[in-house]
This record gives sequence, C-alpha cells and structure tokens, in this order.
Amino acid sequence: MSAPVSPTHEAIADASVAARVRGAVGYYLPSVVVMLALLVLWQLGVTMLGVKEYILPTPLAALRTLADPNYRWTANFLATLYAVLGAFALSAVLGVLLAIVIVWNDLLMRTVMPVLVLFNTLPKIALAPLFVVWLGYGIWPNIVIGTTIAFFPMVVNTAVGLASAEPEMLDLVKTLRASRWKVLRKIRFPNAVPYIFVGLKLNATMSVIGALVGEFVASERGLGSLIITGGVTMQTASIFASLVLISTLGLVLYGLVVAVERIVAPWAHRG
Amino acid sequence: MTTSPFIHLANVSKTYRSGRGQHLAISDATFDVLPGELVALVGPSGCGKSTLLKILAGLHGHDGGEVRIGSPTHPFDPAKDIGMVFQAPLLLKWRRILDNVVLPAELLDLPMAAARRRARELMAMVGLQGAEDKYPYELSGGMQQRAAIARALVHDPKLILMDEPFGALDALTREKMNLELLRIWKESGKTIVFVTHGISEAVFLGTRVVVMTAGPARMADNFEVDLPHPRTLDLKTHEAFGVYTRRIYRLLGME
Repeated sequence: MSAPVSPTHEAIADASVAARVRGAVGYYLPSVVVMLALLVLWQLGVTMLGVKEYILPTPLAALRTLADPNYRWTANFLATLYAVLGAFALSAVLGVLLAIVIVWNDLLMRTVMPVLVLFNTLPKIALAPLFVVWLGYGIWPNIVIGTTIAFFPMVVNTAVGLASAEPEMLDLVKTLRASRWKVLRKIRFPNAVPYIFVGLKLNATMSVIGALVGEFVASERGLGSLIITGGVTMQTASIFASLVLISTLGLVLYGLVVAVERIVAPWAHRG
Repeated sequence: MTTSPFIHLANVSKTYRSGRGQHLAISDATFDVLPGELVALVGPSGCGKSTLLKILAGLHGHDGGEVRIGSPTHPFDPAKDIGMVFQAPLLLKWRRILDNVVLPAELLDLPMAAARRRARELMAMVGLQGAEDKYPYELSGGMQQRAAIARALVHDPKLILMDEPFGALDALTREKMNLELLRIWKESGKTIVFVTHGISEAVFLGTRVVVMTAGPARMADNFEVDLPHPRTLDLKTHEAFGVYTRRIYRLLGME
C-alpha cells in the first residue's frame, strides 16, 4: 500500500509558516472556487427558473432551515453523532481484535475468515429490521447496524498490516527466539498501524452511512429520521440541511483520524 | 593447528521439496571456521550460499551431513549468540535509531540500561554518534546499514551472519563499508560468516574464502587468504590479490 504524499510535501519541508500557508492557499484555492461557483450557480438557477422550494430549495433556503427550532437540530444531530461514534469505536475495537485472531494461526484464518467474508456479502440494510427486533428502538440498533457495515474494512486492513511484516525481519527475531506475543507487540502490531489508519478512514465514512441506515429503518430521532420525515412531508429544505450536517460530521471524523495518524505515526508516510 | 573450529560443517546437504519435484540447494558443503575468522561465502545466485547461512542461523534444517557450532573454548548458545545482517537494513520505521539498535537486547530480556549504554558505544564504533534520536528515514542507505551492524552486535553474540549486507549500496559506499567492517571485526573479535556475490569483496574481506557454484549447487573451493592485516584499498592492486580473484573467476567459469 503506497503512502499518500501531498504534492507539496517536499517543498514545504523546511519552509516558514508563511510560505506554508501561501502554498496551501495556492493548492486548495482552485477547488474552493469551483465549489463556491457551483453553489452560486445553484442559487441563481433555482431563483431565476422559479423552481418550487419543495422540489429543489436554494442553498440559502436550506441554511435558513437550520435556524428553525421545530426541527430540534441539536437533539437530532447529537443522536446521530452518538450512533456514529458508537459504530466507529465498536468497529475499530472489534476489527483490530478479529484481525489479531485471524493472523494468530492458520486454522483460525481458515475458519473465521470465510465466515466474515460470507457475512460481508449480506446486504446489511436487510438485517436492520432484525436488530430492531432484537435490540428495540433507540440508539443500540443504529450502533450495531453501523458496526456491521463498518467493521469489515477494519479487519481486512489490519490483518494485511499484521501479515505484511518483512519476512527477513521475522527471520531476525526468530534467531533470537522471540515469543509470538513479543513479535506481535514489537513488530507486527506497530507495522500494522498505518494499515489500521487506512481501515479507520474507511470506518469513519462507513459508520456514518451505517448509523443513517439504522435511523432510516427504525428511529424517531436523528438526522436519518429527519430525512425520512422531510421526504414524506415534502420539507425538502430540511433534507438538504440534514445533508449539510451529516457531511460535516463525516468530514470532521475523517479529519480527526488523519490528524491522530499524524501524531501517532508520523513515520508512516516517510522514507 | 591446535585451536578447535568454532563452526564445523561436514557433507552438509539440503534439498527443497515442493509439489512439482525437488531442488538441490546444497550438496556436500564441508569446511571449518576458526574462532575470530571472517569467512566469505562467494558464488552466483542459486549456489546455495544464502541457504547455508540460514542453516547456520538455525532458520532452516539440513537433510544430510553434520553442522556443529561452538567448541569447548568457545561455547555457543543458538538462542542468543547469533547476530544477523541482511541486504536490507530492516530497521523498524517507528523506532529511533538507538531503539532499533537495542531491539535484540529487548527481545532477549537483557538489562535495558546496560544495553542502551552498549548500543551508544556501538553506534560510536560504527560511526553513527549523533544519530541516536533520528528516525531511519532520516539516514542514508549506508548509515542505515551501519545501524543494522550495530544492532547485530548489541547482544554480544559470538557469531555474526551477513547476507550480502552491502549489496544494495553504491560502489563507493560499498568500498567504504568494507573497510569499516574490517575495523569493526578487528575491534569486536567476532566470528563472521559473510555471504556475497562480489569476488573482490570476498577476497578483500575474508581470512578464508569458500567458493560455491550453481547448477548443480556445490562447494567448489575453500582456501585461506594470506594477505596482511590491516587491509587497505591499495591491496586490490597487488599481484597476490589478483591471484586469488583469478582463482575464483576460473572456478565460476568466467575466465
């Protein structure tokens, strides 16, 4: 797996803060301009063509909806946030533990992995009603559904990372009669850290999807249920407002994973 | 010679078996290594020199013959008396250089304060003082390989096994590392088995050279290199040096 390196990586290595800021502005400015232009185009298009708001609201109308207390934005946002964070955390822990189990010995690999692969081929959205039956209404079915969607890439990426330690390095530690536990702790696990972060980035996106799927199926709270209600009652602007909040949530979670990786494994994208 | 050999190999053979047949990796390797010798195993790829090194390291078994390491005067514990250096430095990216060098001591549960002291001394010996707190990616290939050598010495093993350790370095760095290795070998007094496909490297470094040939894999020669120590690069222009390298070229069918 090759490490993503931003094009400006080399250039900014020794540059001053001012030069770095200038570099970043120069790099990101074109994409920001394009996004803003699309929003302006949308706003003007809808206004000038006289499209009805329940068909397609303008971006400004969607933003104005966020100020409407009837939608109980804070409570709904928090409900979704908790479900997302729950699914994210549970997927991360479950994924890493399962990967360690799989890599630990060949028999476990041959028995556990097919079960996981088979499970992953199920459309998880179809399982959602089951979890509601088993866990009742509330946040738990949403967390569990999110986990069923998000944990698989965690398992696969972590397992690849654990298994990809250099064979000669493993020879070297073998001549020192290192125990498997020590090899896991000192070689395999740290070696897997960048792979775990790849899994966490996928997990961050998929937990959001998973939590929303849960809220679509069975919830009277959360942004997912707001979207369903918005669709039924033709309050289209509230759907777009929900989307803004959801994508912000997803972006921030993803950004946090990237930031933590820079702190935990600064070596991962060098050399 | 009154000293008993530190390594004794007699008629060692090794065959790899796979579903489609078998492949003879070594046949009839026989040679002794005295304590403190630096033996160069030289030959083309596929001659079994790396396999032989792995047998010495205890990573592979052998099918026939006898492999004995250690002597009454120089006892050998296979669990902690082996230091290995490979072609790739194999430093752990997430550890600083000093923490990489102490790794074997850590795996062997040696007292860490003393190991870190020793690691610092070894880093000075291999010319890496000041790099203790750097990460591997901050060092050049030659420097990383110096760190790998220091790591192979940190637990004070009796036998150092090197598998083409300078094969990935540029020619100039490689010559420099050859000189460094001879100095480190003298200072540490270790027994070293050095695998290479470089013919002049083998003669320059070895107190003894074992020549192996491929197709079929077999041991073709084993001779002492009677050239003075300390060796300098001047030596490569001497007639005696040329006699030894020609002897190897002839065995490998290149003359």
